[in-house]
Amino acid sequence: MKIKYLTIILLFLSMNLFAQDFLGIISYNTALPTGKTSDYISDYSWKGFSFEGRSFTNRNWTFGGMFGWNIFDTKITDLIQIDDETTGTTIKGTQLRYTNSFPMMLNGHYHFGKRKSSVRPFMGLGMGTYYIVQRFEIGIFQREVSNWHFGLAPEAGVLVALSRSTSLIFSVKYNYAFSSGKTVYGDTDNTQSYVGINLGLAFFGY
Amino acid sequence: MNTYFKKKNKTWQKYLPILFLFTLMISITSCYTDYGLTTADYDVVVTNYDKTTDYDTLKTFTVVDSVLHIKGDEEDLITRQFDNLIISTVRTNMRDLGYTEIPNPTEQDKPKVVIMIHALGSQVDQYYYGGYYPGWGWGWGWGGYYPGYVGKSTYYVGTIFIDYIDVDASEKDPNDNLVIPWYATINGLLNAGGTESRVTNSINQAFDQSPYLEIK
Repeated sequence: MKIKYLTIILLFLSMNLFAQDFLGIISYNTALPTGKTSDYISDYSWKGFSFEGRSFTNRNWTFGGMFGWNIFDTKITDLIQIDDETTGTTIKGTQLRYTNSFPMMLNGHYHFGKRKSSVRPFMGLGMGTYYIVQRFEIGIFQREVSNWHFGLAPEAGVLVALSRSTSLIFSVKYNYAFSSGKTVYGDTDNTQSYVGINLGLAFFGY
Repeated sequence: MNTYFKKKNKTWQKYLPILFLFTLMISITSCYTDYGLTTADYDVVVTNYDKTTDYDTLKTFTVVDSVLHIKGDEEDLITRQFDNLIISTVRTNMRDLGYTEIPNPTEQDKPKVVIMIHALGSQVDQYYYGGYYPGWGWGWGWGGYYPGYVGKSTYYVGTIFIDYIDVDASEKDPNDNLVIPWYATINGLLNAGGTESRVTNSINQAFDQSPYLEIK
């Protein structure tokens, strides 16, 4: 629990420490699930957004924080088969599966080119927590688990200037949440990961 | 005056893209998508089998000619309107799997398998709490805070249990327990329409997903 509050406090502090040369970003996020996230829900996610703040410490480097929300969901009717040595169980029903991921991260980015360049590629790394809620529904039955994960998020993207103070931002971010707690099925390996593909607007404040 | 309004408008326009994006995000985002499920989507069929049983040796069967309604002292929530349908659907499936029916078993002409069917109705009360906002789909739940209870809905659920009893194994069981190498549990909403087809489809599904029962 402490890590949750610490991250939130640091996130806001990081946004306010450097009042000058600030970059505020609001993004529409889509995501391709990978690994165990994909094992549970393989459908591409078209639902998500994030808010981010970056402060320039010099011409190229920024430090800041972000908060996001990605939603994965699917409806499937596949059979569920559970086997042990002597018995086998088969379950048929409409399954609704959901994963809600809330990344809260501190991050650093290196922006190539000059401050006034119209196109500025960047690379960065986020570090912080993911609050991930998994929910499984079949018939009238449902089960939900939620866990806080430590996570890393390397990112690459580009800023394309639309005006002096506004840019279009496109980025690809690999979200990796280290295992924490159990999955909705009770599996102890609860590593979650997905590739976020994000499009948004960035606003410069000087 | 005109200049003032022009300036004001310009400032406002500057934030329009943010407002647009923010509105878009909120409108597309809710925790749990409503997939517009039909009543049949809530039906669940569970089958379980013992892998050590040789089903090929159990070639004859009898279905107990009534459905036992489990109700204790409570009111029976399940109508008997579908009892015959349930029994006949089970019999049809057993015959289709290659079993021979013994309709009137005697001590000399005993079936290898007896099918017993039970039905149970339950009332489910679901309570709603504050903290859920349509559109957001997520409450202000920091620190586990929950605003108070705001409502309740009640629905009824029916469950059909189909037990496949191995007669010889049950007679030999040292503890006089029934030996049930296969069973099916079918669960669905009651009083929700389409019951006849839902019952038939679910029983058929229970046998369809149990190919090991087939007599070869």
